[in-house]
Amino acid sequence: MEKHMAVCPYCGAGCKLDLLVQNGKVVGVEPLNGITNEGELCLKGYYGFDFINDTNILVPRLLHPMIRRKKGQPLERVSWDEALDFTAKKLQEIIDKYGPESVMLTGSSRGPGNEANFVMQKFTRACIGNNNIDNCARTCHGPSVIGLMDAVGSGAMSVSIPNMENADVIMLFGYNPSASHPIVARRIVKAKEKGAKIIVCDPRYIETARIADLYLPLKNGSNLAMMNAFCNIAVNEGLIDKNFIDEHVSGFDEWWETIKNYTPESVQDITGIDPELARQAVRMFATADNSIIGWGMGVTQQVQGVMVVHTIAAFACILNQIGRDNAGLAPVRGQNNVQGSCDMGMWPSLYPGYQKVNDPAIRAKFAKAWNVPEEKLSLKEGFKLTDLPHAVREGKIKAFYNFGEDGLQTEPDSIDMKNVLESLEFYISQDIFMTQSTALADVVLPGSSWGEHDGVFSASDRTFQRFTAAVSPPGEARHDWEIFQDLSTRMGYPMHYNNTEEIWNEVRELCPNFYGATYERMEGLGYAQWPVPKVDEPGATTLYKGGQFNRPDKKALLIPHDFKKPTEEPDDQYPLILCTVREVGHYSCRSMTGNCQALSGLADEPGYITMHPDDAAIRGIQDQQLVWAFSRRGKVITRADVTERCNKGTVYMTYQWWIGKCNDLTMHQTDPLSGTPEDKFSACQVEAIADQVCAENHMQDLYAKLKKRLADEAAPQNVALKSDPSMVAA
Amino acid sequence: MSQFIVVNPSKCIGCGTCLLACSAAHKEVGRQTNPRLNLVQTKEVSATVTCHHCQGAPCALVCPVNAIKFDGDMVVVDEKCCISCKMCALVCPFGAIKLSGTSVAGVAGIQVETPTFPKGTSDIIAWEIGVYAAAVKCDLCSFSKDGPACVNSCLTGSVQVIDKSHHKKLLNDKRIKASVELEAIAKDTSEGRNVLETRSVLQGGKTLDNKNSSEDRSNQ
Repeated sequence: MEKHMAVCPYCGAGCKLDLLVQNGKVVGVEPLNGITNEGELCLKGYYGFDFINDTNILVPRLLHPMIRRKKGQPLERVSWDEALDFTAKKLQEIIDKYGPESVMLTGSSRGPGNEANFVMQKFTRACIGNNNIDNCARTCHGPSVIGLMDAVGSGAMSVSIPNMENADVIMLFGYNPSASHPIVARRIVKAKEKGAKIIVCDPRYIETARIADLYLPLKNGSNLAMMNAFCNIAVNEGLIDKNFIDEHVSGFDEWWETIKNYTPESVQDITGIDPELARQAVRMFATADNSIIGWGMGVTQQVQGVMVVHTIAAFACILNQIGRDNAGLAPVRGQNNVQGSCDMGMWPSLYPGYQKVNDPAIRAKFAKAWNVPEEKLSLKEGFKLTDLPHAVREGKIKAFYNFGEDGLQTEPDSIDMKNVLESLEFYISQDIFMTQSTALADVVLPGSSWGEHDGVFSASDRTFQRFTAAVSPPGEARHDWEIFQDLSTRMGYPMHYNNTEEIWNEVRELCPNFYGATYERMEGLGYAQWPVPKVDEPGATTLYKGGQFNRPDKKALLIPHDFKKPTEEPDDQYPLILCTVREVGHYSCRSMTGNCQALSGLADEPGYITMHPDDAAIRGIQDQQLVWAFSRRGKVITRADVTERCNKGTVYMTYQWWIGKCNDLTMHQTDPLSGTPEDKFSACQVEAIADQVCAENHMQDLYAKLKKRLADEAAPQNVALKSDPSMVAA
Repeated sequence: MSQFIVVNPSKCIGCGTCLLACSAAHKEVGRQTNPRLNLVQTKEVSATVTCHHCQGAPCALVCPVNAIKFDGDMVVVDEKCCISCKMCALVCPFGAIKLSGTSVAGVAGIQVETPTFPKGTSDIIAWEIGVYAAAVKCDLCSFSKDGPACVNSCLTGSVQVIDKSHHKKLLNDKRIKASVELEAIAKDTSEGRNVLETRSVLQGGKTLDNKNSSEDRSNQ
C-alpha cells in the first residue's frame, strides 16, 4: 500500500494526513502528526476521502469537457481543444462587445490549492484585464478580513491554533467550533483542562456552552449592542490598559463618544443579557493574563458584520489582550483554503499578498513581473461575488467563470440565484462534480480533485502546508492551473508553468510576506506561518507582537458604530427567526462529503431544522417529524430536531442540504461594507405535516429526481467523442 | 471481570467521529455497520452510550436462540444466529442494542428508499422492506489488535475503555484522594475548624485536579 501525504480538504484547521492508495484507488486515511492536528482527525478527515473514487452516491464526477453550443441545448462532450477554443472565442466576443469589465470570475477555496487560484487571478488581471475576481470568503469571513485590515492591519487570526490551548480565558462569540472545526474544539477542551476559563456568547446552547464558566445567551441579531456594551464596561470599570492605548491605539476619544452610550443596562432589551452577567464576562476576559476571543459566522453573516469585527478588535486592543502568543484574535476560517484564496488575491481589491490594486506602485510591480503594460492591470476594484445578482440584472456582467463553487447551494435566495445564472450570456463552470450550479453552465471543464494534484494550502492560522497527489485525475480531467494557462494562452496572454512549485515560486517573489515559505521548507510535515519574509527565519506564530500593528502608523484604529436592528424581523405571518448553521459531518455545498459512503450514511437529506420544544409543541410538531419550512422567498421540506439547546423563537437549519435547502428561504440582504449576506437572520414559519409516511416518500422522491437530473446532465460526457469536428458543427 | 467503554461528557464535543469509526471498523470485517454507540445530546450532557458487558446481562438471559453469549469477559451477539425478535433491545437498560440490516436502497444512487414508517419510529420496530436486521451491539472490536475503534478515533480522548489496569488505577486514585481529604478533615476538626469550610478549601485547592474530577463524573 502506498502512502501520500496530504492536508485535509475540509475545514480551515489544516490537519495533516496520509492518503492510503491501493491499485490506483484511495482506500483510507491515516492521521499524521501535523502542527495543528497532532495526530488526530475528525470524522470528515477520516472518512471524507472516497468521493475521489467517483462513488456516484450523490452526483457523478466530471470526466470530460462539455459545451452547450446554444442556450437551452443539452451539454455535448467535446475535446479539450474544442472546449478551450470555444471558451476563448466566446469570452473574447463578450470582451470585444461589452468591455473587459463584463466578465466576472470566482476562485475556489476548497481542494485546488493556492497555485491554481494564483494562476486564475493572474488570468483575470493580466489576460482579461479587470479585478472581477472574488472567493467564497465573501459569504463567510469576508467581514473579518475587511474589518481586521481596517482596525489592526491584517485580515487573519493573530494567534495560532496550537497556542489557543494555553490561553487563560477563551471567549467564543458566535462561533461553534464543535461543528465547524472539531480539531479547534479539541484545543478548547484542552485549554479548559489546563485551567482556562471559557466564556460562550451565543443564542444557542452550543457544545462549548456545556463546559463554559459563563454562558451569555444573547438574542439573535444583537451582536453590536453586546460588543459595544462589553467595551463600555471595560472603560467604565477601569479595566483598560491606558499605557497600551496611548502608545499603540488611535481614535480612542472619538470612539468613546459613541461607546459611552452603550451601558449594559441601556441595551438589555436588545441583548437580553443581565448587565451583571455581562460585567462578569468582561472582568474575566480583561483581568486574565492572556485572553483569546474567537468568532465565526455568528458575527460575520449579519448585516453589521464588519462593524462587529471592528468592535471585537477594539475590545481586544483597549484591554491589551492582543499581540501575545496566547492573547489575541481568532476568526477561524471555514473552508480548508479560504485563507489561501484571500492570500492569493482572489479579492476584487487585492493582489496576492494583500497588496492593494489601486496602488500604482504595486501595479507597476505586478505589470513588470507579468510582462504586461501597466494600463492592462486595472486600478479599479472589481465586483464582489454578492454583486453578481444585481450586476447581471443591470447588464454589467455578461459572462461568469465559476471555479469549484456551488452558488445555488451556498448563496442566499437560491431561487433568485438560479434566474441570475440562467440570464448570463455565457457561463463557464470548472468543477469536479456535476453540481446544481454546474448543471446550468454553457461550458463544463473537469478539473482535478484534491488527492489528484500537488499544492499548498493556507490553514486558518496563516500556516502554509504542502499536500501531494495520491492518484491521477480520472478520465480527461486536468489540473486546474493547466486549464487556466491554456485558456490564457489561447486568449493572447501565454502562460507556461510546468509544475506547482514554479507557480509557488512566482507567488513568493511577488509577495514579500510569503517569500520564506519554500517548497523545500514545507516538505513532509514542514510548514511556514506568514508573515515569513526570509527563507532562513521562522514564520510568525503571532501577529502584532509588542503592539506593532500592520497599519501605516503601526497603531490599531478604534472605529465606533451604532447598533442597527436586523433587516427582516419576525412578524405574525413569519414569526420565527431563521439562522443558518453547519453540519459537522458534511462540508460546504456537500458535493464532496455527500459522495462519501460513511459520511452520507451518518447524515442525509433532508437534514434538520432545530427548534425549541415550546415552538414545536404549539405547532403540533414532534421530534424527527418532517415539516414544512417557508419564508417570503420559498418553501422546503425538512426534519424537526426538537431540543432544549435551541433558544425559543429561533430555528436553525444547516446549509448542506439540497432538498431541505435553507437558502431557498434566506434573503439576499448584505452587509454594505463587505457584501456578506445576512444568513443568520431572516423570518420564517414552520408547519407540521399530518401524513408522515406520505411526506417521507415525497422527500425521497424529490431527492431521487434531483440526483437523476444531475446524473442526466452529466451523461453526455459518457458518449464517445465524434472524431470529425466538422460533423459536430453540422 | 468485565471491560466496557465509557465516555467523559466534559471532553465530548458531540462530533460523531466515534460513530463512524465503529461503523467503518465493522464494515471492514463484514459485520453490520449500524454504529454500536449512541450519541446522546441533552442540554447538560453530550456522551455516547454503549454496551456495558453486564455480568448479569439481561440480553443474554432473554435471547431465545442463544445468539447472545458470554465469551470470556465480553457479552457477544452472533449476528448470523439472531432471529431479530428484539427482546434483547427491549430489556437492555442502556438502550445499547440496535438492529442493523443491509439496505438495498441507495446503491449507486439508483434505487430509491420507499419508507413505510416515519423516521421517528423506534428503531426496534422500524422495518425496511427486504431487509433482515440482526441485533448488534458493542463487541469491543475484539477482531482487531488495535482495540476499540471508537477509543482510537476520539480526538479529545473522551471515549475510553475501562479494562483491568485502568479500573485499578482509577479506584486507587479515588482512594488516595479520599484518604487525603478524610485525613485533612479529621485533623482540622480536632483543631476546631468547621468541616464544611475545610471541604470548600479543599475543593478549590490543589488536591482535586481537573482531570480527576472530570473522570469521576464520567464514572458515576
